[in-house]
Amino acid sequence: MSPLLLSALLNNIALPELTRWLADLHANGRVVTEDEARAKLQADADAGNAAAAAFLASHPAA
Amino acid sequence: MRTLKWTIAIAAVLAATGLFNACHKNLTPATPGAAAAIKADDVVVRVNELQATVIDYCGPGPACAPGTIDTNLARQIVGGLIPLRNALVKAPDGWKATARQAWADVKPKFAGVKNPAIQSALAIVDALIGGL
Repeated sequence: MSPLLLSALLNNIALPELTRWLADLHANGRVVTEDEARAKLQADADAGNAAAAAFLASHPAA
Repeated sequence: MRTLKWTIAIAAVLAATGLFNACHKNLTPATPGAAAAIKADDVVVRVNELQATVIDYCGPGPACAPGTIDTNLARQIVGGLIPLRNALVKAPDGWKATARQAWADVKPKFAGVKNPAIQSALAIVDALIGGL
């Protein structure tokens, strides 16, 4: 397997899955309010949109 | 051929693990609104991972690395994920139909992308949005 492909699988899929699994174990049964849930949703969406904007700026249309 | 089979097998296992994780949240929402926001956030997190996989695959700018993905296609995919996230953030106010439409707009752009890491992340997002 190509090292680049292995790296992509590990960094973008395997590690996030492991991290999520550990976080779920830690958060088992915790009650989440609507404000908390909305704040995390907004923060995650903002982070994704910022990463998208940075990519679009650094990769101009050919 | 053997490497390809291993790659596909690993990608399939990771996608299955991702779906298992996505379907087994241990958080308890206090209200239906909180439940909708948690569900939408699960999708946003996966969309971000899909986007990161595409960006990693493309490599540093100003153009994607040769033999990876066309720069304009990568731009269309990354740009197409923005309205999807913006639709998901509106949960629970009419978000599902808007999110499905935003996904339907961007999903066909992945047709020619055969990278297993991207396909694995794509399968997870597709299943989550299909289950909204």
